Amino acid sequence: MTLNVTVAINEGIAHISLDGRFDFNSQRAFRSSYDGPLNDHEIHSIEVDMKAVDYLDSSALGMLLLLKERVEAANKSLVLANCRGTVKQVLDVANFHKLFTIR
Amino acid sequence: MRLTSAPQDSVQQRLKILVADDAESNLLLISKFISTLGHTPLLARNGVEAVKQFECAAPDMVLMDVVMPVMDGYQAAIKIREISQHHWVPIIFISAKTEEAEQAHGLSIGGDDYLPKPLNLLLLEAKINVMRRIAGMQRQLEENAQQLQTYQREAEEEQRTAYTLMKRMIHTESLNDPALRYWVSPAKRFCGDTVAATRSHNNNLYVILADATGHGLPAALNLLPVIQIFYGMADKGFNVAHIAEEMNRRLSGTIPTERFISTVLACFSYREKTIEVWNGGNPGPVLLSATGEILHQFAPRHLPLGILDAKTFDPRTEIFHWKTSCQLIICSDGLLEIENSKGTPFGKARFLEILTSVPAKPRFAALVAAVREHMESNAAHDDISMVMIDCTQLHYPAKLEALAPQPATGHNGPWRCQLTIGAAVAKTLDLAPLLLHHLEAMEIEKTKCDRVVLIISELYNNALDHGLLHLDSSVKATPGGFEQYLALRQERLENLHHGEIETQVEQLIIKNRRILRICVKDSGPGFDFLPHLNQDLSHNVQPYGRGIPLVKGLCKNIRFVGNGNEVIVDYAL
Repeated sequence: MTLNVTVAINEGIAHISLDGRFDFNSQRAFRSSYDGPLNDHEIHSIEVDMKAVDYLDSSALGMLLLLKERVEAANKSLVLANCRGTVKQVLDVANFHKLFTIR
Repeated sequence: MRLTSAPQDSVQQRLKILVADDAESNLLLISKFISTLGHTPLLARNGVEAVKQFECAAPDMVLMDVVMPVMDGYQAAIKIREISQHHWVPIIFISAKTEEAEQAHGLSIGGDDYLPKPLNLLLLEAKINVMRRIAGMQRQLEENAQQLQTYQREAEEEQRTAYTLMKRMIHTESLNDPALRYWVSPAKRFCGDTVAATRSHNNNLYVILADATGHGLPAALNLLPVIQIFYGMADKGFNVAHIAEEMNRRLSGTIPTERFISTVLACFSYREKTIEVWNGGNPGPVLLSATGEILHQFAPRHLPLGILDAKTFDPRTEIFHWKTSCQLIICSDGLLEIENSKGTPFGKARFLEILTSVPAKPRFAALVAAVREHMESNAAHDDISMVMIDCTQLHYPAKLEALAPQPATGHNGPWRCQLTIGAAVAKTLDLAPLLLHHLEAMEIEKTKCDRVVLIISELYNNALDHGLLHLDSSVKATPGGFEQYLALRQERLENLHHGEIETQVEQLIIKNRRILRICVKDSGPGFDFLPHLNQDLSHNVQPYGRGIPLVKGLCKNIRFVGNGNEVIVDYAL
């Protein structure tokens, strides 16, 4: 099972939608999704939509940390959207709400 | 490692081409043609000669007539394939036998192509070029495979060395504690989970379960500084918050952004009947009674280690006070997430169900068995680790009495050191490691150091709690009193602005014997010490009031001076 990543840009916000299993194997797909938006001056905010993520492991959390660092360096904002069920649980255990805006 | 680049299809590349034919005219025609193409012809007039030439001259390609005397082309081709098992050399049959079945036979016994006689030279040139290209690629693959093999051997050797090194650094023998059971199951050879335990000078048991992002060697490497700090600081009795803070400080500068370590750091005091926990990103240790009642869960209150910088790191711990016998179970998320062949995770519900339904004794084994059964024969995709601490097995007083008298070592002359601690410093001071350092410098033997630190810590804590913070220990005896006591202590400590505690340690030589005289004095109003002095430790079932009888048991004598705000004890070295 792999992670499908789609990017849609709308009014200065890049919506990165993830679908499937977000783990170590999704590294390349996930990283390449945000390179474009980060370098785009028109984009001020990045939203990672977790609605269709059914599994999240610690390397996925690591990738989110990396994204956060890049987003901050680019002076943009970051939101993790539609976090429910298992995804929400994993984020809670790691206390990621202290670092991320989670919706 | 770098693989060499693909070979150039250069026209200049000269090939050695073996030509086998019993007809001189054919030999002459083909070898001339090969020479004009810029290659070197090698000649053979039958199969035996062809095999011999092949062995001596190692050609790059073979053009083989089928019908020859002594040994025919097919047999020669079979021999050549036997000789060059690990190195492919293209063989092209050239024959007047042009039936399809014949051609198919030639290819099936090891030929790579089949050209009909009379020979079309244009076609021969094209075939030679094709074979050369394929042979070039083949050679490249062989070289790469060899390089990969070398690389693999080197990597395995390096991993073996790293593995031995890491095993030594994590010294698992400290896990052989009567109070502790553990299980670690790595997903790969190197484990990104680790469990370690150690006893401090005052016999508190420190336990850590750390789970680094990912698995394998990179994950394991990130654990090393954590383990080093754990042993270094826990042995000296640093408090849990300070250890967690130091671990995070060390990691935050060195660990890559996408990596972190989910950690439970716990300290068990048998005497105080407390468990102090710092939990960063672990699913939550569970405390169970002997009958399987969940007494407490230490929720993850913090981010894992290695994410926040020293300024934003939160070292606050949670303290639980237990009253009856109980077990604490800590596991990594790998255990809860492990999937069976249907993809169903083990899950927290199942985890808790087993813990609560199995009695204390077989509890750990039952959980391990259930996880193994759930895994079936699948290899886990994450590291799994679990540790259980049985609070009734922490045995404090028993170990204390077991110390046999040993001849004194160290400096034989007198010395004295004095430490005065004001209110501001008292808020955060970790006294034990500081004392230990001093005493070790005075060359006092390790076990005796530990005793002395214990005595001073007891007296210091009494001075702080009662002299400066005006706390009443009897609060601990009421239901929920211990937690109330701790909360009150924390609150008063934060608001402490006045007062000081003076600690003096002096070595005296009395009748050729070394005596440590310890004096602790606080600026408080003192207390009624007489009832405490006459208490018998073994009959004390109260959750408080053990301090002074314990000190009394360890020392030659104990004296309170003035209103009780000054205490002097002598300890024989």
